[in-house]
Amino acid sequence: MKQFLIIVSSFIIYHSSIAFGAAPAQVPQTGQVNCYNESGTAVICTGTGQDGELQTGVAWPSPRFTDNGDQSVTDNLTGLVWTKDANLRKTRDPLFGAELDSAGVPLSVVSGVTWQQALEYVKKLNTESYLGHTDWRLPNINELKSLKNIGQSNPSTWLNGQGFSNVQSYFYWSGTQVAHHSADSEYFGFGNPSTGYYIWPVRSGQYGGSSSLTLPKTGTTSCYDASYLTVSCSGTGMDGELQVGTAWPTPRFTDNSLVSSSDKTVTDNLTGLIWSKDANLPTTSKTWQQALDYIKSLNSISYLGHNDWRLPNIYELESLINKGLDREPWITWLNGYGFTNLKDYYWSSSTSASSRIDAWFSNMPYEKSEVAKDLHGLTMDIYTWPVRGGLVRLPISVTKSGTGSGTVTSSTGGINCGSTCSGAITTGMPVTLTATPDSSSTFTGWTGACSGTGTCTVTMDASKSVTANFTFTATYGACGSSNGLSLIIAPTSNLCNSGTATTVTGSGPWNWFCTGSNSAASCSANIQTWTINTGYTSNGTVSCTSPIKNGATSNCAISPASGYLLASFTDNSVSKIGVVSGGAYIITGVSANHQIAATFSLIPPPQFAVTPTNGVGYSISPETAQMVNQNTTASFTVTPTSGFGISTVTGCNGSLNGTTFTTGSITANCTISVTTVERSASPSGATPTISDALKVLQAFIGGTALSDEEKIRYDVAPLGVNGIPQGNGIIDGADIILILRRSIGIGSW
Amino acid sequence: MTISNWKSNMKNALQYFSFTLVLFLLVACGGGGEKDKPATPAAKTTATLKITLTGTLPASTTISGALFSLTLPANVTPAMNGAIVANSVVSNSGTFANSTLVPQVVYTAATSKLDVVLSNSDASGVTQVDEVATITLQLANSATPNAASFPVSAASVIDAALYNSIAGMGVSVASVTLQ
Repeated sequence: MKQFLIIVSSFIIYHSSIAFGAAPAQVPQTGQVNCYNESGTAVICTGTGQDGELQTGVAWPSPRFTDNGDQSVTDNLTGLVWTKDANLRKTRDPLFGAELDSAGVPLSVVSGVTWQQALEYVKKLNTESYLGHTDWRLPNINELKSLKNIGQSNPSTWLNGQGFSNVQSYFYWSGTQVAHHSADSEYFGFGNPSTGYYIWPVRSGQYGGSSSLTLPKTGTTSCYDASYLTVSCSGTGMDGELQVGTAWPTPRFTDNSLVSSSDKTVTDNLTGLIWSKDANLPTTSKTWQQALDYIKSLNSISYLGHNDWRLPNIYELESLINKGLDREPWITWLNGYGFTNLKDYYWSSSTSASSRIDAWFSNMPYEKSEVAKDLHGLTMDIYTWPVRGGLVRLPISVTKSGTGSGTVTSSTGGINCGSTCSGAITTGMPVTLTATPDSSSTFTGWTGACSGTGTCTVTMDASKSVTANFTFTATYGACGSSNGLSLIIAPTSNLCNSGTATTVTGSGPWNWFCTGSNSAASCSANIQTWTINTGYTSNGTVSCTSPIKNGATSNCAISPASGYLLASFTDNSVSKIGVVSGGAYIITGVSANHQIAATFSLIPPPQFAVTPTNGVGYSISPETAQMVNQNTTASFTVTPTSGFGISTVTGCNGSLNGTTFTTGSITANCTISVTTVERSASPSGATPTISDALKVLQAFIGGTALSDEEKIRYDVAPLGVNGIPQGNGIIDGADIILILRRSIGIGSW
Repeated sequence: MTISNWKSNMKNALQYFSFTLVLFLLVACGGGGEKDKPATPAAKTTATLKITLTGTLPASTTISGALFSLTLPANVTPAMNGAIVANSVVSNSGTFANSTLVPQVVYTAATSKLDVVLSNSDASGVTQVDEVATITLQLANSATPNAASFPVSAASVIDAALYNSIAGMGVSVASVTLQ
């Protein structure tokens, strides 16, 4: 614990960069978010009154630090730019500050340096324009402390994880001197260098970042030499010369009892904190837990009309330090603003992360903060100084309502509702709430402290209660209009009416799924198929591939029955007889229905020529050769011309019936021959005689027989109208009489 | 057959032959008795038949000839020159008297039919329906036939234009004169 005594506390007075309330500056949060009991055991913070519960002060931005990539790191809370290497002197200039021998040669590399050497080293950086800048300086004590995270057990380890390197677990020099005392420093760990402290150069923020606050001045206005005598500050680089930070308001404090005698409080016009006018209100010193319990008792009775009294955290407590004043002047300074019963030691509500059994307390006049929770082992009394106001955290709660579900998150305050639906956000801070519906729901809007349906930004000027309304909107995967259809190409649009479509698979049929929150639909579309209809007469068949997918090839097989051949073939009424080859017909790239029609006919038998012979005394019809199918017959009409009779018709195995000659079954080419006899009644064609008549008479009465030729020749009656013998197929008395009369010259044939 | 049976049969045959001979002698004795009756006129030896056409001749129709078959009764025959009927048997007469065409006649003894073809030599034909021929036949055995004794068949009258048979006309035996 001895090493802690080196710490010289200074005022940490912060000026808030956000415009809220009357205070020009606000105290940042300490970083402590946990709570511990007196035994050092972690406990739930609710109701403890500890810093981990209340977390008052300016919230830290996220991310807290930004590595600028140029060997510098910007603190987004304060806007300060630090060297990335927290032990730059040893890294860059290892021999700087080394002890010299009699010849002026460095004897060894040193870990730390004296304060004066630290000031000189910063000047060296500016002389050498390190990183292109000449405004490097030692940070004042407020700036140096701003890097600490009370919630971390080892601040150097935490900082090395925030973009810095070589952060040492020991003291770093500040540029601030305690009045009439040695220079101040800040402790960043438990190391124990052999000599001196470390140097961490800083520049004011030129990166124009959105820092949350600017730090106030420390109160130091003078510079002292090694004998603590006042010297000129010019060119020293000390805090007394530079006085970096926000100026304090005037007056710094307001005694509220001067306005209302019953209001026994004093307001710090720099921080906005309202302190008990009596700095020893319990009248006695207390242990840490007793101090917390005392504050609860004040709230239980609404002391001075308020129930928000608290034990200040360590930064709030240290904000009352004035680095420009020693103990007695400090007491006098505060008494001048109406404070009474000021003591040296006061408890804070901040627990120690490294020693959980302890809490921070501050030796106010001597500007030192230390840790303890009771008086065990200590010789001093520690007192209780109630405070209220400032940047307290206000509760914000989120309620989800409606039939749906979703999550509400906050930009700050740790709300992730979800499971964490309440939080506390520093007074005056804006917080943006974002409602994200689950996939099965829609966000229908805010009620309470928010409205509308977008993100909601709430400024924490009071406790807030927000309701996010979610409506269940069940999403079912539902197939789109392409489902179930017959398509010629893969579906590319309107795959799903609802839900999300997966990739289409298959080459037809095609498949896809419509995935929804509550169900998935299995969808498909068939490839268009076409029908190849075949119509045909008997005596053959046509068979085509059908149905056939769009674009595919349909093969048609054509099979005439035995003895038949394909006579006609049409595809959609277009003749394709010339396309059919080898009994096959192929339709490529089918893109429509087809109607195939085919007819078959008998294979024609062999034909033979039946040729009639033309001659005298007759006519034959048809008179030209006839092509006659094998094994069939043909008929001809044989008509004798006037004065003649048909004697014989021969050939082609035919027979004469009347005037019709019918061939036999034709098996080869053949000729029909006709013989005729002139009805001259005389073999020589001369005029007949009585003897001819008598011969006919003998034949008539059956006495003699006539030859076939004679039967024609003597069959002369009756005559034709032309006077030419016509005959009637029989030999009768008319023939005899006619021959008789012709024998004497009657008639003229 | 036994010898006894053969003798019995022969006896019966002789008895039958004797009876028949007696009966024949009795008949012959009776015929000889007519030589005692008075003498009768001499028997006719010739029969002359007049042949006429029958029926109505249609207008504008002329006749070139006619033919018919005449069946002769028993004991009536034509005069023959060998197998040929003598030219004197049938002669044109009446309407056909002027015809120069000799009638053609064939006699078939087996059937006693006399087939006759009459033709006139008028190129235009004739229009009279009357006697056309005379047939003279020989009588034997005192035959005395009359017209009815000579049935006519297969008669046909032929026109002179186209030589068709004239419907409704025929041939008949108008008279028979016995001499």
